[in-house]
Amino acid sequence: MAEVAERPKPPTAREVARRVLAHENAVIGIALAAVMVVLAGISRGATITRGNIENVLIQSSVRGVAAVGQAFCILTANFDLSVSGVGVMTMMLGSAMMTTEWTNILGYPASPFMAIPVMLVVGACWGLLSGTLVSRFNMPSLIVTFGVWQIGYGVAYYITEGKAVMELPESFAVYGSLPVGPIIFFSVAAVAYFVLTSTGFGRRIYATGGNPVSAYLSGINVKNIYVIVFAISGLCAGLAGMLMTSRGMAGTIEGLRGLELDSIASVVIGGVSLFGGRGNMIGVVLGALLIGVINNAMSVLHMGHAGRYIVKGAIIIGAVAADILRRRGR
Amino acid sequence: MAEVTERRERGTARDIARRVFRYENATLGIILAALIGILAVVTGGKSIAVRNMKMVLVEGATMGVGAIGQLFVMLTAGIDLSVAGIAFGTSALGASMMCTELWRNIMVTQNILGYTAPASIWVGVPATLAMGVGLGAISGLVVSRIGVPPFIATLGMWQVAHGTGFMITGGFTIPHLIDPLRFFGQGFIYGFPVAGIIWIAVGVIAYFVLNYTSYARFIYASGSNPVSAWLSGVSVKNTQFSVYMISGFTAALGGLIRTARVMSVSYSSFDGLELQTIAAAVIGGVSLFGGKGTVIGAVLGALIIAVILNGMTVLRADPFLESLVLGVIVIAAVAIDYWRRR
Repeated sequence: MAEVAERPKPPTAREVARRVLAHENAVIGIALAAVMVVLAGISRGATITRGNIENVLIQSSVRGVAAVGQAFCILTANFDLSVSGVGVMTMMLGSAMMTTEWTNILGYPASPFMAIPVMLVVGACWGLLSGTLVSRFNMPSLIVTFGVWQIGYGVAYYITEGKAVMELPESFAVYGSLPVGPIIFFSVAAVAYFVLTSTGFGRRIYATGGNPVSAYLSGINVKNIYVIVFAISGLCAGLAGMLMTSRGMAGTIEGLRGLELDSIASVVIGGVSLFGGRGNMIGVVLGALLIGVINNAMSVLHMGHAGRYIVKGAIIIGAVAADILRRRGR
Repeated sequence: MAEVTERRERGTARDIARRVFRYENATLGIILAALIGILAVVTGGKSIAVRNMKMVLVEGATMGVGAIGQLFVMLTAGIDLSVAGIAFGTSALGASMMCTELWRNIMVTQNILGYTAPASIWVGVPATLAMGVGLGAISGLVVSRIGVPPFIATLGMWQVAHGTGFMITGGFTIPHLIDPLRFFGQGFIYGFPVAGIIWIAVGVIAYFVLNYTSYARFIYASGSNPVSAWLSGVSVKNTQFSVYMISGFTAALGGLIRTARVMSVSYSSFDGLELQTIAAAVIGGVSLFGGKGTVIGAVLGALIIAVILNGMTVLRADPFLESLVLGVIVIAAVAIDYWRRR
């Protein structure tokens, strides 16, 4: 009798729903689908035309690449506020290198094959700088990267005296355009997913974020982990700067304004805990796409600046509040 | 024998110097004096002309007042990134209420409020300050009741407040404000700028509150150790809630001073203000981890930044240098804080 009673009951619809909702990424996926359907309804289909979806994908790849780097930082309970500062600096540097107008850097216009590695390396080096300051001097990442952000913008101004850089070589346009841009984003995310789930380094990142002291006591070099995650974030910021330059085929000071906020919002919506050690890359990708869809819909619907600021602020606070309330409920 | 040597050492110049340097705010004062001296030499005396010194006070007042609110928040181990947003949002409300007939027709709030004449400063100024307190209260509620990290809550509030300002002004610059408003930014009492007087008054009140009231004990206690503060009966949540209201108030007051000085408001009027207030507090020796910091330090820190920014203007430095220098100063101040703690 007892054995019969123990046989698992077929799951009720309610239980299935509960289990799906308990899986974080499913919730984000459902939210993404729901938002897309609702927005398509409101805009009478204008948001789901082929051209517009392509647009969202390209825009999201800039934001998403930065969000992947940001996720590494937040997984160790740090913030990288310098994303847009570092990104805009690499943007101005790279685009100035490639034009004939600003040859004062090299003396001749560089080819994209030369400029792109320079952009990535410079981004990574600025990340290394923040990481070193945070880990070796025990300074709060919030303030360090705030300062680095400011310095990055200063340097970006310095490179071209604040002027926009135009007339980039034709061959550079491919990186930010349709198949290549999103492919770069998804492959970066895939590599990050692999690193976080299947390597010892990924384990060490989660351990450090979850509890730095016990991570240190179990032999992890916590300080080096901090340096590396900031370098990764800087590299991703440089890559985002490169993609943005290629997408607009111009380097502009205002080009990446608000990227740090968007990347943090993507990561937070993607279910990564701000206190470190919890979260995964699939959520971050979905979060970046969700922010991309909302951003795009606001411009398709001709929403003014006012609405955009308010919606974004509310989304960020709401996502974190939801995360906290959900954990408190358990 | 030991006593004699000790007594002999006490009065020496070296001993006095050591004791002065151990007192944080004295060091700041010396740095400030040195800065003023160096800038005076570099600019050939231009920077210490009386007119320019008044300028430093008036221009620094917005940041200085904001830094005092920031101090309260940072004492509870929080941070307020919404200063610039709140300053713009509230100034937008105040300016659209107090602008003259010419501009009233295109203002959205005019329709909402249904006014037919510009509000007097007795209505407009309290409304501005009240909006600051209200926006601060929202961040305070989100931080204290839900437990959202202050950094995220105020970053979101920055966006919300900035967006509200955009909504009120429609993205336009609002000039043509009523004349009595000029007093707060350009007025002088016996030759002393009113903005400076407001700054000093806020500083004195904050000094009194933080040194002579039990409320200050609550703030310092919940900043240095929230758990033990809670266990000893301090309402940590209410304390956190209240400091964001204070910071919202000072942000609005700072915004009002700048609005009155330039007699217009635009969406870029307050760019970078949150960074400047944080920098001022950090330079003033306020700990980012809560529970440590003084009003005098925050005021001196704001003065140092105001003098540097003014010096760069007098020297006609590149605008890029401004953000570069600010960034370096912030990082250096935190680094110095770290070394001192060690």
